[in-house]
Amino acid sequence: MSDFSDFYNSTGIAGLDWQAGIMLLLGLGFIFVAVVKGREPYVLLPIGLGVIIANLPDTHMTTFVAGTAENQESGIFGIVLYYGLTFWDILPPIIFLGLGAMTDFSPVIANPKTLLLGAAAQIGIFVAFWGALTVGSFLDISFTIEEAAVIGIIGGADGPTTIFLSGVLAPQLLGVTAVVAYTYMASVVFIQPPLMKMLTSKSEREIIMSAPRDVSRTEKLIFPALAMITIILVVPGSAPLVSMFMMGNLFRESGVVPRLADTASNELLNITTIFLMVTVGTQLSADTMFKVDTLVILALGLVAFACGTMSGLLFAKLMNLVLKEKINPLIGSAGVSAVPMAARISHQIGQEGNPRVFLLAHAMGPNVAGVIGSAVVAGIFISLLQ
Amino acid sequence: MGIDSEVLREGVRLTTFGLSTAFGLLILLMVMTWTLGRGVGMQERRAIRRSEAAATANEAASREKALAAVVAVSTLLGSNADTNTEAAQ
Repeated sequence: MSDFSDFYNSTGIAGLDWQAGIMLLLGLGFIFVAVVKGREPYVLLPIGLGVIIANLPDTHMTTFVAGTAENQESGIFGIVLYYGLTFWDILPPIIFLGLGAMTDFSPVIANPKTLLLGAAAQIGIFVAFWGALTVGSFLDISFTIEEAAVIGIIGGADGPTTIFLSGVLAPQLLGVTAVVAYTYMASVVFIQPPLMKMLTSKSEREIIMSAPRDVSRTEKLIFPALAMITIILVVPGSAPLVSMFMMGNLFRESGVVPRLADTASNELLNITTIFLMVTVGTQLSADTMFKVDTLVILALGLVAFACGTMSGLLFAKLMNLVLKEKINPLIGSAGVSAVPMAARISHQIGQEGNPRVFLLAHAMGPNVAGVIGSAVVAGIFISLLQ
Repeated sequence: MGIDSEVLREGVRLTTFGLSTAFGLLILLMVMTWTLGRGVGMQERRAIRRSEAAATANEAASREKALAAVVAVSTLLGSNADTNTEAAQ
């Protein structure tokens, strides 16, 4: 009997509690949504697997023991978390390299005004930042200023930026903030349309914008180099993200290193995504999730996202007061990164009112500008808080 | 409970610098992109004008060559005809 008891205690079943059980169901839920519903599969499938790995007892896969000579003390995801996200924080910049190699700056170059919409949508970050700072006045919890900055950056709706900033300023929030950011990015289709319809009139939604001009190769080559130098000179803290983003884009636009552009946007991006997303998922253990803080972060993330959407829309309306050639304010909501879902939603809502309204190309401008804007804000947080 | 004055001051500093830098940088980038577009556009228009002028010059030169050839052939044919007439006489 004691042999059986010893064997039972050595199994993971003995270490399983109800909280871990719920987390396993959550992991399976992520996988279900990714596989069956086809929503954000590249994010939700590896995160779901990470959640399952983290909540199975005694796997030690997320353990990291620094400076040990013993074998097998650190698990693979513990090592990836430590070196990839907290100690070196290299995985998000590598993702940015791949994103840069996949990005076309033509909409921004053709219509530089859209850069302003990308800046306006960052207001959501600061609303959530203040929400996190002042939440202690209403609830029995408090966040440090670094944690508030990380919670705020969720409003940038940019997964790698959120992960990068968490890794630098508040690694303890890494899993929660990343999952909240990706969850809301996957939910833009539910969050944004009601706000877009609420803040714009029917006639505004039906504004037809003329097709963007053709952009020359010279402009496409100069823009990333110029943007990189300017941004990094002003905000050096944004260099890891901005330099990699622009470097990837130069690989693509130069046309002389197709193998590098291809590797950055395919193999390297895919390999990094596997390790980054599974590791983020492994940060969602039961003891992290079953806390009031997590619910508050979830709520503040939603506030950040909604405020970013609204400020983008309202700023577009404000611009229309001074512009001769009016812009469709629906493209303002695409300022909250979430590339390319937010741009697609702007286009869809525009088409609902008038099938002759084509906004996809125009909305990609603020969408890409939003990526730059949130990287800039993250850089400012790093420069001023680190 | 409540917000510490130190945190409040830091929060105001971050918000002020954060928002103004984000807007300032993207406005600067907007102006630079607009100027870049104008500059490259002007350069391209100048290049087009130059190639059009070169094409026109080439066209004129080849037209003159063709004309010269026609004149030469006509002259040659004319002199041949005179010779033949003289021979017939």
